[in-house]
Formats: sequence, C-alpha cells, structure tokens
Amino acid sequence: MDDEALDKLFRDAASRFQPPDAPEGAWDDFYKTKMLPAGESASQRRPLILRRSWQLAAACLLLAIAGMLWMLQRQPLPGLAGSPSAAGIVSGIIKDVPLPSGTTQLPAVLSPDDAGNVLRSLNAITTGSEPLLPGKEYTPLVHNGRAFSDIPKKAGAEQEHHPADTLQRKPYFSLRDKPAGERQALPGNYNPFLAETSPARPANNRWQVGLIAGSNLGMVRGDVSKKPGLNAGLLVQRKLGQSRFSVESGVVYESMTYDVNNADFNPNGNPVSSRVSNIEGSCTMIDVPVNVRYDVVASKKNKAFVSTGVSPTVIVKQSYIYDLDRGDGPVPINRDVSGKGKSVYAVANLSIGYEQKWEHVSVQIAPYVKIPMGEIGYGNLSLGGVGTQISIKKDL
Amino acid sequence: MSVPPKTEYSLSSMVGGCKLGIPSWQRRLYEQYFGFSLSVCLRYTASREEALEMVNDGFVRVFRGMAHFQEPEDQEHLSKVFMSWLKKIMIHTSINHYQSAKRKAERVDAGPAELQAEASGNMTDHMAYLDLVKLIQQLSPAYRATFSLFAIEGFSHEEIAQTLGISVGTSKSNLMKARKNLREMLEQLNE
Repeated sequence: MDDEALDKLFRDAASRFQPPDAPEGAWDDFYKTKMLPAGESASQRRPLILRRSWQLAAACLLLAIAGMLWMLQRQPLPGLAGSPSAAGIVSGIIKDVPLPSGTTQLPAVLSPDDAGNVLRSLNAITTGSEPLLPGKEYTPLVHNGRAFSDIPKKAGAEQEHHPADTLQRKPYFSLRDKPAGERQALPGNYNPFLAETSPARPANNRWQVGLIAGSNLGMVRGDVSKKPGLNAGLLVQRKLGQSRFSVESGVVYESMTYDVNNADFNPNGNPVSSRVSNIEGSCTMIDVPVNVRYDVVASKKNKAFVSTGVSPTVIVKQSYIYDLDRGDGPVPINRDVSGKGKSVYAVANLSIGYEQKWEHVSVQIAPYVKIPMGEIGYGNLSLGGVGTQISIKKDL
Repeated sequence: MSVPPKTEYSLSSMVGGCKLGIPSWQRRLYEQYFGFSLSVCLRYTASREEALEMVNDGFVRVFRGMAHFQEPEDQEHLSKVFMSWLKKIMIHTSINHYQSAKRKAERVDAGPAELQAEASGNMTDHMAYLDLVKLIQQLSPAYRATFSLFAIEGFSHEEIAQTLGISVGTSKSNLMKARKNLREMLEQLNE
C-alpha cells in the first residue's frame, strides 16, 4: 500500500465516521464543569491560598496573632497607660528626690491611689497652687519618727520658693489605711517607691534566643518509623507582657527516615508499581515553626508549658530505598528523588515541655508531635513526626 | 427541560441564540455538533475520554468566541462555514492540549520509572478495535497530529510545521514514521 492509498484509506474512514449523538447528561456535565464559574474553578488547579491545608495553617496563625493581641490588650506593659502607670511615672520623678541619708525604715508602700495623689501634689508643686484635694486628710510621711516636713534642708538649698521646699512643707503622701502597728517591718534598704513600681520581672528579659537539638521519628499516616532522625536549629522566643504566653519561632533543619506502605505512596501522583516493596524514605527539611506557648506552671526557676503552632516546611532532599522485583527476585534500589514532587507544605505542631532556669540561661525539653496538613514530596506523603527537642536559651 | 428535536431549529437560529449567550440555544448547538466534534478530536487524542474532554474544552471556546463568528451573507453556506470554524477550533484545542502535555512532560521529571505503575491498557487491547480512527489513536501524539493534519485535514507540511511549532523536516519525518507504524498495525490486523 503506497502512501496515497494509505492516506485515502484513513481519509475515507474519517469521512464515513458516523458521529455519535451526545450521550445523556453530556450537556449537563459540560455546563456544570465548564460553563459555570464554580465548575470552572474546580477543574483548574486551585491557588495556594484556597487549599484546605493552607487555610487551616493561616487560621492557626491568625488565631495565634489574635491571642497575642488580646493578651497584650488585657495586660498592658507597665508605665504605658492606665492607673498603674501613674506609679511608674511617679517612680521616675520621685526617686530623683533625695531621701535623707540614714533612711532605714519607711512605714508602707505606695498604692496606686497614693501614686495618683503624688502626681496631683507634684502638679500643685510645679504650678505653685494648693493641693487639689483640700478636704482630704493626708498623713505625713514619717522617717525615724519625724515627718518629712521636719527633715532639715540640704546645705546650700535655696531659700526662695522651690519645689523641694514645697515638697517639705506640704504633706502630700497618704499612706495605706492599715494602722502603723499592723504594718510589716521592711528591710533596711527598702525603697518603697521602687518596690511598688518595679515590675515583678525585669522588662529586659522578654526576648530569649537559643539553640535546638533533638531526635525525631517520621510518621506516615500514623505509622511511626523505627529509625530516628535528627533536628537542629535556632530558636527565638518573645514573652508577651507579663502574661504566661509567649511566641516562639526559629529555623530548624530536620532529617527524617520513614517506612512507607505501597498504598500510601503515590510517586509523581501515580500508584506505585506492584513490583516494588519495602519502601523506605529519607528526607531533609527546613521548617520555620511559629508557635504560641503557654506556661502552665511558672515559677522563677522552672516552668511547664504547652505549645502549638504551624511550621511551613520546605523539603530540600529526599531519597528512597526499595526492593524491585524484575522477575528474578527483589533487588534493592536506592534513588535520589530530590526536587521531584511538591516541596512545600505545612505541619501543625503540638508540644509540652519543661524549662529549668539558671540566672539568664535556661534549658528546656519538649516532646512534640507534628501533624501534616497536606502531602509532600515525590510520593505525595502525609508526612508527620514525633520527637523531642532540647533547647538551651539565653535571656537578652 | 425537554429539548425539541434538533431538526426543528436552523443553524442560523442556534448561532444567533449562542451569540446572545442563551443556554438553551447553546445546549441545542452542543448536542447537534457533539458527534462531529468528537469525530475530529478522536483523531488527535489517545482515548475517547481525552477526546471528550477536548470536545468540551472546544465548546467553551466556541461559545466564548461565537460573538466573533462571521456568518456568511449566503445562508446556504452557513453550515459549511460553521463546521469548518468548529473543526478548526476542535483541532487547535486538541493540539494545544497535546503541546501543553508535551511541555509538562519535558518540564517535570517523572522520577524513577520502575516505581510507577505501568500505564493501563496496551497496544494489543486497542488492536481489538477494527476502527481506523482507533489505529490513529495508537500513534504517538506527534505522529498522530502530523498524520491527521496531513492525510485527513489536508494541511501542507508548512502549515503543519506552523501549527505544531516544529520544522518542515520534522513534519515530513513524523508523517513517514506515522505511515510506517500504521502499515505495521494494519498488517497485524490482517494476519
């Protein structure tokens, strides 16, 4: 058969081809999947932001941020706003007023109300007016049985009207209502202003940085691997105000080994060949955890905490070892499949832990579980893990 | 919704209704020209399912582009002009699909072949069908497109080269190999 005859054979066959009628429901399917906007979007690859795993991750992150903001609003930082800050402001002013030498005992600490009174009195001092609450009885601040107004002026002090003079003349401190006899004796070097206004925890140790190291076991659909992997990285932690919440983030390099059932392994989106068995995967990943931590138990030296969050994870290297049977018995095969398949996904983190602190350094241990929020890698695996992280952190 | 027999409606009415985007007219046109479109797409795809997908994608283009369809002044030629336009859309839809799949295959390394299950079906399954269109479907996408365009649609090698984005020499080579494969298939059928 020459070329022309061959072509003619097919051309005639095509022309004789009896077009079939549209099958029942063809139009409905076409209209639903191709013409309606919803169907159209369903037939296309969904954008990253619309995928369920990323929506879940975004929701977790938003919840964490909302929680942080809520906690910050409920527990404002000292000295920023509200009545407690008056004490802070007063502290800044009053501590510069020289207390007489030899001051060993002061009767009480200032309450926020007292601090408010101090502010008002200071206002009166600086403007030269009378106290703002003339009807209220103020008890003079007493030092060694003498009121502050009886304490001699410092040598060289000016005689004309001076805020310091007014400070001495005017009784401006109201003390707690407790009778003097019931007040607790205070240490000799006790400074009531500083004691009242200083936060319980220094404000400058809210940031912590540290190193992480640990071990993990890969987990595919609940099947935990027997071979441990390693993880290591950097951690940054920020305490939220004076609450028990803090935010942790960092960069963690993680290696993982895992066994895979043939049913769970879909290389390049296809089912695995029946000639393949005993699949064992290994991968290295970089994840960036963003966790919110709550200290369930918080003392000065130790803490117990729970932590949750999400980790965007990038798989940087992956390989598989498996047995391949070409008809003459299984032969072990080792394949590097780095760069194949989806390389970014998200995992949800859950952990509990214990932290022990010494001065500005602390050590914590935290068992964790990582729950996959999507599929990753060449085999489209739901790859999670369990493990333990040990961190050494330093206050900044 | 019951659809009246397609013979009750002229092509001119259907084209006019589709130009206005009325779904009931689109449905009549789709159902009337579904078979013709499928017969075209079958020559450029590897399976009936794939061809059906191309038919549907092609009809999306038809309905979106209907506003630009130029009806001939002589209504007697409307059917011929419309079918030529429809056929052209179906061919281009199928070829675009083939080229997209080719680019994807070049871009994505499938990884170790032995890990993946073998493709379902094989040539002997298809050889059971005594249908020449089915033989064409067994050709590789490049051979299938070249042979169909040359032998059935009547394209020249220059037109094929332009349509498929290949050289004239490649088009000639593909046609020669397609014919060779088809002959072999026919010989096997005759044995």
